[in-house]
Parts: sequence; structure tokens; C-alpha cells
Amino acid sequence: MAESTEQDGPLAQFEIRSLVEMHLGGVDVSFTNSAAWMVLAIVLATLLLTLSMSGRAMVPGRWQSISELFYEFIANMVRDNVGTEGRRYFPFIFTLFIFILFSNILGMLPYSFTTTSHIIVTFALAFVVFLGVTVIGFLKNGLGFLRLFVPSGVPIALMPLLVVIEVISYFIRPISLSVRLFANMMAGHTMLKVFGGFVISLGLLLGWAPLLFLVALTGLEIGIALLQAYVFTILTCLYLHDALHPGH
Amino acid sequence: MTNPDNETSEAARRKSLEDLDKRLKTARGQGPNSAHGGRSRASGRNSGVAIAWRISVELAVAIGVCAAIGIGLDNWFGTNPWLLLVFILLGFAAGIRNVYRVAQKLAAEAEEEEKVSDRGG
Repeated sequence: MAESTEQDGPLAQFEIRSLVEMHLGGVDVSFTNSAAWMVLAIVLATLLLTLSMSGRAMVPGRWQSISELFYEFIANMVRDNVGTEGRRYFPFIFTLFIFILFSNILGMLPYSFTTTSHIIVTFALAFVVFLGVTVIGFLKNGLGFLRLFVPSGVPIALMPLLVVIEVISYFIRPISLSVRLFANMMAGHTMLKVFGGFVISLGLLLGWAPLLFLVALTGLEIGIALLQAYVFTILTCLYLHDALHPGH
Repeated sequence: MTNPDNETSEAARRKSLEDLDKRLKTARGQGPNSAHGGRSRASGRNSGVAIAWRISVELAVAIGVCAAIGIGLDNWFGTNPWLLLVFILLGFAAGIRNVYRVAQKLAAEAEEEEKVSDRGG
């Protein structure tokens, strides 16, 4: 009895299951449901972007408009927040945005698995951004990149403390970036399941109230899925800007 | 690979891009839809929920991570609870610093937008 309620609980949706067992030198590299949904997100994104652009019409149709909308949205974001030097990194930022967007949206389908609701997935994404930005910062500015940690116009006596604070706040970035996305997705999907449970347990008479709330919550969750993809991407742009112009 | 032809074409491309950027800016500033364009950009970037999420998580994570570091170092050196206290304070400072930085950036952007709209209207 206890086992069955645990299996059907609101957290059961986050369970990782192996679809194809694989072991490489004692390391479990099984193909899991999480990996399957990531692959699906990439396949769907590739299909959408390539098929919709295959016409290359001067006057875009509906599908082509979707792709062009994505492109322009990210291109403007990169230009506004990073500057013209950021054009080189556009492919990466666009890929990041589309992947997170598709993962989040696919998670809204019933019976699906939300890959971004696992902190290790979001942390991996954030850590790649963090490493990349740090490497770019040192490549572009050399040791001048360290100016990022030295605030200007500060008395010498306060300097050591402030440098420590700046360094900490720099290293916090990948964690806050990943926690923001993961916490949103996990909390939202847990809430959806909890209220879904209320609908069933309150029955035909009283179940309508949570059902109405559930409809509203689903709309909110779709909004959050879009918003968090946007927030993740724009913060990546801001970090990239810091790496390219550490003095400001 | 570094023949002069390639370099000049690179420079020409850069120049044409800058030219395009300039023309885009003037077109946006003077176009009939400039007010609408400005508003949609502002609402996209400064949507309240987006700002709230950026700022709140920044503060919470900084304190949480620094507290964890403090506990870990305390266990390592056996200095309970002094390093925890020091690192919580540092985390709080770092979190506030991050929030302050975001707020500063948003304020600068708002000011810039105001200036643009003043000039346009």
C-alpha cells in the first residue's frame, strides 16, 4: 500500500529509468528516459528549424515565421547585451536557448519527462557556460580579465574583503544559473501533480475547484517554461559581456 | 590563409555590418512604430517576473552555497561554528553585491530608454 502511493506520488515523475542498459568500464552509461527526452528535444528542434526554413521564401509562411522569430529574438538579445563582438557566439547561445526551450515545453506534455527538472542537467549547461565564459575572458583580455574582481574607486583597506566578495559572487554564478531553472521546473511540475491528485481525491462533487486551478496553473507553467529559457539565455549573454569587457 | 584579400573582405564585411547597425538604429528611432518598438523591447527585457527570478535566486543561492562551504571547512578544520559564521556573512555580502549589480544595470537601461523616448517624442 505504502509502496504504491509512493510510486504514484508527485515526485514519481522525476524518476530516472534506464531504457537501454549500458556499462562502460564499471560506469553506468545507460540510455535513460532523461536522455531519450533530450534526444527528442534536439530532433524536434532540428526538424522544426530545417523543415520550416527549407522553402527560404522572401515572404515567410507560418512555419518560416516561427524560425525567423526565434532567430531574430536571440540575435537582438545578443546584439543588445553583448554587442557586435557577440555575433561570433550567436550559434552557441541560440542552441542553448532552443534546447532549454524545447526541453521545458516538452516537459509540459502529459506523461513526458522534464529533463530540466534535474539539477545535474541544468548544472551541466550552466557549468559549460561558466567555463566557456571564463576561458573566453582570459583569451580575450589575458590577465586583464582579473580586473573583473577588482572594483574601481575603493580604498586600499577595503580591497581584500571586496575582492573576496567579488570572487565568491563570480563562482556562485553557475550555481544560481542552474538552481533558478531547476527549481522552477521541479516546483512547477510537483505542484501540477499535487493538484492533479486533489482533483481525483475530491471526486466528482468537489474536484472542480482544483481542476480549474490546474488549468490556470498549466498556463502559468507554460509561461514559466518560456520565461526560464529566456532568463537562462539572457544571463549567459550578460556573463559573456562581462568576459569581453571586464573593466565595466 | 592570411592573404590580404581575405583580410580586406573581412574588414569590408565588418564595415557593412556596422553600417547596417547604424541604419537599423536610425530607422528604429524615426520609424512610425518607434514608440511601439521601444515598449515591446522594454516589456521583453524588464518583465517583472524575470527580474524577480533573477534577483531572488541570486541572494538565496549565495547564502546557501557559502553556508555549505563554511560547514564543510568547519568539519575539516574542527573550528565549529566560526567559519560558518564568516562564510554566511561573506555569502550575504556576495548576494547583495550581485543583486546590486543587476539593479544598477536595470536602472542604467531604464535611464537610457527614457533618454531615447525623450529625444524621439
